[in-house]
Amino acid sequence: MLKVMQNLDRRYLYALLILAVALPFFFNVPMTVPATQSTESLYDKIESLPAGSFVLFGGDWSAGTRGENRPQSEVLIRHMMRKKLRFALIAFADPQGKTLMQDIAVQFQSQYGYREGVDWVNWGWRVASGQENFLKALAQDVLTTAGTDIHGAQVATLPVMQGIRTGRDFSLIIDVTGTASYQAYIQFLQGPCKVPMALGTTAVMAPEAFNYLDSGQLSGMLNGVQGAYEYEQKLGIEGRATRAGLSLSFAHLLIIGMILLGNGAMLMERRQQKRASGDRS
Amino acid sequence: MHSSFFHPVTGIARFAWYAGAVAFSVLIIFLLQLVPQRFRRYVILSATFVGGLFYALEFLLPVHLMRTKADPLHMGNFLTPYLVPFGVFTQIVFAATVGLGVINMLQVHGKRLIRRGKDSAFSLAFLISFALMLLVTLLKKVHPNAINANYYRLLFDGALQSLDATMFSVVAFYIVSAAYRAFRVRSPEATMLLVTAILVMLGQIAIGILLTSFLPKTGVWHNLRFEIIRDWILRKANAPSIRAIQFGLGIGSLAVALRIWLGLERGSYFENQG
Amino acid sequence: MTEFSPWLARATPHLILWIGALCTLGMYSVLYRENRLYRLFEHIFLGLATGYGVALAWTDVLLPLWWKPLWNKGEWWLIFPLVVGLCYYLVYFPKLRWISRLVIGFFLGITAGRAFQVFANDTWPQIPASFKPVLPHAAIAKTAASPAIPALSGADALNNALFMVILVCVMSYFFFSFPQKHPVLKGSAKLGRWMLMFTFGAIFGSTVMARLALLTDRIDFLLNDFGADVGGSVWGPKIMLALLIVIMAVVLTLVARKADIVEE
Repeated sequence: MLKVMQNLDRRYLYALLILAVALPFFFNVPMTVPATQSTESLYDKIESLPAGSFVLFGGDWSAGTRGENRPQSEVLIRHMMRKKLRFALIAFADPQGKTLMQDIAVQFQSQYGYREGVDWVNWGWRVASGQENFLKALAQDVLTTAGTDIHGAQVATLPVMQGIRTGRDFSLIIDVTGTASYQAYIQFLQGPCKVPMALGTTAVMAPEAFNYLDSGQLSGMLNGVQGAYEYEQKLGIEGRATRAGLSLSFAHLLIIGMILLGNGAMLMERRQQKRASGDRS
Repeated sequence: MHSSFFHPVTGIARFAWYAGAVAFSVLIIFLLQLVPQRFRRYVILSATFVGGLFYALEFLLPVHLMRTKADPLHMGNFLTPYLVPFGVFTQIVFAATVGLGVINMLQVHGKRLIRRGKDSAFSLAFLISFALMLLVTLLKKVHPNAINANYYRLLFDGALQSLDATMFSVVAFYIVSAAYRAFRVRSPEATMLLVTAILVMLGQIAIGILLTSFLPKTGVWHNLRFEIIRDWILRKANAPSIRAIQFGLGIGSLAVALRIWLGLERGSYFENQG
Repeated sequence: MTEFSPWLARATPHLILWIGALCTLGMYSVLYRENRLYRLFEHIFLGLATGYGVALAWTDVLLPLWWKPLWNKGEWWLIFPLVVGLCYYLVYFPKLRWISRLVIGFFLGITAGRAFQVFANDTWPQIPASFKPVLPHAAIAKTAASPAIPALSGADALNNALFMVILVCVMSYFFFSFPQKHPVLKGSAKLGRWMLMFTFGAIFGSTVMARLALLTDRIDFLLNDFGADVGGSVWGPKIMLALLIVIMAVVLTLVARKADIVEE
């Protein structure tokens, strides 16, 4: 038994993981999860904004983190559209973010009666290494700094940008990201312009971001796909995060099981060695 | 730019201004080349200092009311109006440098292709996919018709997204393998790490939350729910540790920034006379 | 040729799914072992990502911010940022290399100059936020001099005290510039090291969630998106699951055989 456990090929584990993730998709087991405080704060923040408020929405993610950031972006965009908030999309960390966010906004706009240019706009992608300089300039003059949208139209001419002149005219900043790009928003927009900021981040980056949540620099946060799952439940929608909930549960239990099994094997080995050395003496 | 010198020039005359700007730039580079070798380090240090001076002064100098077109209640100093054009300036500069990485990759893969070694097929695949994606994305912008949009979709949605997402998801398998083979509890600290990790994992999955859902929603026993324990670990135990690390990082970053700005930094890059 | 465009328009949604599935399964072949198929897809991914980045540097930055204002509006001074950007390429010319270092030095200086604002807006606000109330009290109404203060329960007061203890202990653990000989400092540093285990455990648990979420997304794609295209929304996912099980069975059989051969 110990020999089998010690020599277990990794590919058996991979197969177990695939089964643990794939099989639950065939069982529709509704599960409610209570929202954590960080998710509640973000939900309440968006709920508190009056219709017509302007939100700067950063989409700093790529397909590499889409398992977490896409459900977050979808659920936040749907909530903003439900609340009739205006928003501008922008991407820094990865050029893919511009297209991925555009696709999500276009996917849901007809459902909520939104029109691009009138209710929302996509400013496109800007170079990541110039993000800080861009945000610092944006705080001073939004229209000149933003320049054009992805279709080449001057943002100053778009109805969605009416009344937005400086960073202080933003009602909220949201950054959905798999990187540390949110820190630049805090340093150059949230802090100087005193605009509330929220974050949708991958679970890997979340422990670091809780520090900002505690200091009040972040008003709310979605922690990975679990945060998106909680938010979907608050909105009463069944999105990708809800669909993935059971699979994630079983996969986690497998990992926990593997950790305990591995340590169990280590303890068995130690006991055997003790017995062997005891027999010899 | 409202200065009488920096005004837009249209028509044929603009070519003269373009040529003049290019000539001026070449002159500056020529004059820089005349700087003796032993003084070049000081020129670089001076440029570093001047570069830092802009943002440092803009932030540190006192502000006063400056009515602008964008904001009649705007507060700033004499450097604040230059933030916007400087933001545009840096975007153009950094976008222009994207070719550096491309040249490097073309050199590496081009050499492999020319040598026709055993990995040259992969380099060919790289070059073809690079050229295809570049062409298709530019075509979609220049000629936004249905065919180009569909080609773009095939490469972006079909290939790039799937490859990117799959590349990162492979790590999940390695985590399973590592959890079984490498995560060994050999010390009290490792035990604490393991217990914390398991509590966090149980608190972030629906089944884990279900396991303690029998506990009341209020009162003392409520705090033993897995999701409450996880939330407590993240907000009350993890956050202060991260903050302590952040304090060190913040002060350290400021110190390093000051050293770079004032030319005090040592090391092969900063001491090389070029 | 005139029929190609409508055909492509109809076929594109299906082709996207088939290309995606091919790429996904090709990448996952590395789970069996390192192989040429995986390396091929890896290089294709690199090529696509690089090409996309270069294209967007033109379409989203240089075209609207540089080319159009320069050519259409006659903003001739935009020549200068391009020249500065092109100075980076002088690294390839040995005699002119130092000019690229000059430009790099300038932008390093810019980053350094921003550090004051970074510190003021990122790190500094965390300092007052670290001083938390530790005595329970009832809610205090708003006055002319101060805002309303919510009530503080005993549990919250205890949490606040613990927060500050952990903060100080972890900070003391990172004091490396002098020897930690004093028993108080030694003790707090040791406690700080233990408290860091909370963070590392939280990070590990969160990393597991992050990576599994990415895998779940891919399996969801294979079963429900691609599967639905192959065999409809009812049978398609089941067909894909069966296919995955068959592939795994074949792979594990090969693995078992190799293990037997090695044992013999």
